[in-house]
Amino acid sequence: MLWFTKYPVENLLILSSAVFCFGIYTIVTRKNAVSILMGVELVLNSVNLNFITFSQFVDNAGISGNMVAIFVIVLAAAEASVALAIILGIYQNFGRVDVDKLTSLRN
Amino acid sequence: MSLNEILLNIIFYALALTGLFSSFMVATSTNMVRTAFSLLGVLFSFAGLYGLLRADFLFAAQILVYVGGILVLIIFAIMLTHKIANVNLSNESTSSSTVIAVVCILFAVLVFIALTLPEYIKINQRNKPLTEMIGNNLLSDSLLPFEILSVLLLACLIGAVYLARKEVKE
Amino acid sequence: MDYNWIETGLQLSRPELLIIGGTVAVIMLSIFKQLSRTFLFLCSCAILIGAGYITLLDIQSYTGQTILFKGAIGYDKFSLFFKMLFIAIAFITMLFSYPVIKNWTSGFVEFLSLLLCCTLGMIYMASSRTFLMMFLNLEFVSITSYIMAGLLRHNKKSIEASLKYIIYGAGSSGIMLFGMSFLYAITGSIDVYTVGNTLRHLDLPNSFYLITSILILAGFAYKMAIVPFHMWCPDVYEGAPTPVTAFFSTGPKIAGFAMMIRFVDGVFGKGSSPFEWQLIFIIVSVLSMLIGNLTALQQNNLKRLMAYSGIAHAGYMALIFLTFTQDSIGSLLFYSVIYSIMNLGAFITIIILEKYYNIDNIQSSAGFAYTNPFLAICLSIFMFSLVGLPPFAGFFSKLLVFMSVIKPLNYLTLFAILVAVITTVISLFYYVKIIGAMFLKQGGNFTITERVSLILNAPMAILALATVAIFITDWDWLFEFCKSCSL
Repeated sequence: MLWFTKYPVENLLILSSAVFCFGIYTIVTRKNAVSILMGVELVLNSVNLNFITFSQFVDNAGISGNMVAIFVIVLAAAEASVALAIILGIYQNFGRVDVDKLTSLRN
Repeated sequence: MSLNEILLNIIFYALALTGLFSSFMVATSTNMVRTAFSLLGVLFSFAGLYGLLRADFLFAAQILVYVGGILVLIIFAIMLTHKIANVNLSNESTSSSTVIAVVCILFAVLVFIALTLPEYIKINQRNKPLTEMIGNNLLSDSLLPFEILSVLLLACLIGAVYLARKEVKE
Repeated sequence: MDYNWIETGLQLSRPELLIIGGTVAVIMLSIFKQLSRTFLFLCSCAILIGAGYITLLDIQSYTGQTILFKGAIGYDKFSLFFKMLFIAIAFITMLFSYPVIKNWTSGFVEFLSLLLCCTLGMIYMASSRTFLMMFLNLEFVSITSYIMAGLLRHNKKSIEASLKYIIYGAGSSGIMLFGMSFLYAITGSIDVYTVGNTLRHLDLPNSFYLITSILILAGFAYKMAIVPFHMWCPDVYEGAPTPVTAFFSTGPKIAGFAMMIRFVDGVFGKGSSPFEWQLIFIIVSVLSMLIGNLTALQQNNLKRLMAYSGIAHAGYMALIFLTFTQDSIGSLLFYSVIYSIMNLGAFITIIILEKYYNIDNIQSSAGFAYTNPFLAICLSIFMFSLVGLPPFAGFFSKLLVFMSVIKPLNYLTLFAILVAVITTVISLFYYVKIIGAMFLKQGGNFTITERVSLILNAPMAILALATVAIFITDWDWLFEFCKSCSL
């Protein structure tokens, strides 16, 4: 295989960790519900990158990692569709989609 | 070292850096539309990485489903929930030093794992194309998850349509 | 090619097939405007009764362990037990939610079909053996739950509960998958038992186990509503329609425990393991008991109070992971049966209070016992049982869990049991606060618009009776049965 020194497993893992952390950061700090959803997509993408890396590079891994990644993609699509439907419902009820402005439930 | 190797490495690092920078933009950009297009960058660069890893099927699925489906959905949501006439689509965030510290610790921990983990695994790249194996797997090992997924998508369809539609006046 | 495994698998999953077919049938039938809502409701009930009957036949005759669908699910008494329990919970929920949902302008069929789908997901959660199935079914139950929480979509509280639920749920399941990917990297397998066997032959640093377990626990803990991931719980319970809340507080929570048990059994196994994973559960369950019970003291809203009570109960249930023997798993199964009975009962009383008397907090229920003594007595029975006082079933369930934990006595288990006993005493205060408000205080007039439906009163009475009867009569057989179903 054609790499400079060795297989770039570490590099890919660090990349996915960084994207994962950015995703968590987005989920925690954003106010806009659509942005929070984007954070979730970042997290799921980093998970996918992990699974595919391991599935392709670990010696006896089989293709189950690829299968998990496919299912994650489909589930992300399903979840995004439901989440956006809910966000539209929020917009109809509250007139805005900022999470910190939702205070009908006491805390 | 051949020209192929150098080219491959350049593409790899270019994709990785694009992904990293775009996800940073998703996390910090203050403009809603810019955030969405940064997400596009992340998704495309990840698709490219899957291609480099020779996960051919995932490469196609990533572009078709994520870029073609989810991202368009998200951009629709932005347009439906913001007044487009208002050009300044701001995207606030409440960042505090605590959150940044926690995320940094998390990152440090994950990098630690990323650096130690490869010691324990035997690394060897797969060279066969995947689509055929995935097809066979979907009808053997993953048959039940595949079927459950269809029920899940039915439930999703019902739910999303119910939640998003306008009230029907009788 | 050999396709026998598909045939065997399909033969042994008749209840699931019935539920899938029934869901589609209910959705299709709802197109016809001539069919009344009662008819659709009866159809859904018939589906659940049929599925429950088949499971009952299976569970009596079956002993042994089989793997179906190429290792995707395990078919044993453990999964059959939970199949039965979830179908029963869904049936009772459907029964008592009918008087509420029949008046909704929209969302009636959606409620029925989503409840059926969610039941299917919970059944598969309890039997899944691979990471793929676990994640898929966790998401299945979660996605149907998000929609069910937002079914009253013109109600601000309901849709807000739904949004909060989906944000927490999506985030934590992503974190869980990230942890699972590390286990997959080390072992090259997604089957929990293969992962466990491979891990036993490897010498991995403790830090790896610690980080991976914490990441994975995020997904499970969110479903079980135990402490670091419990924040969604009170808001979602308060905002969601009350029948849906009743379902959330029992079904998905117990399904999370079932999946956790199978995961721990596979990856770490009973007995010694390379990593002291029990420590994580001690922290988590002690925190759940403390935070759940102490926060519940300050609540006035009944549904919020039940949410915190649910967090506390999840803490008691998580105690069994400290020992994780066949006995302690058996006592968890017993606990989940009793917990479902008393929690569903308590929620029926809350539904009646809300629907007919417009009461949703403790203050406004002052003096209620003189208006409807029957309901007040039933509520007291459920509350005392939730505390764990002697003449009720809750006493035994708690006692058995504590007994099974204390067997290998050391400082840690002793500490956990001490916290459990102290918090049980604390919990007495807030449960009794409700009863005290109803019986001892003078209150306003409670006008009732229509008679309380029999479909609400009858299950409430039966569940209250069961709570008492399990204590008085010979409850040993139930416990023995639970033990025989343990993994």
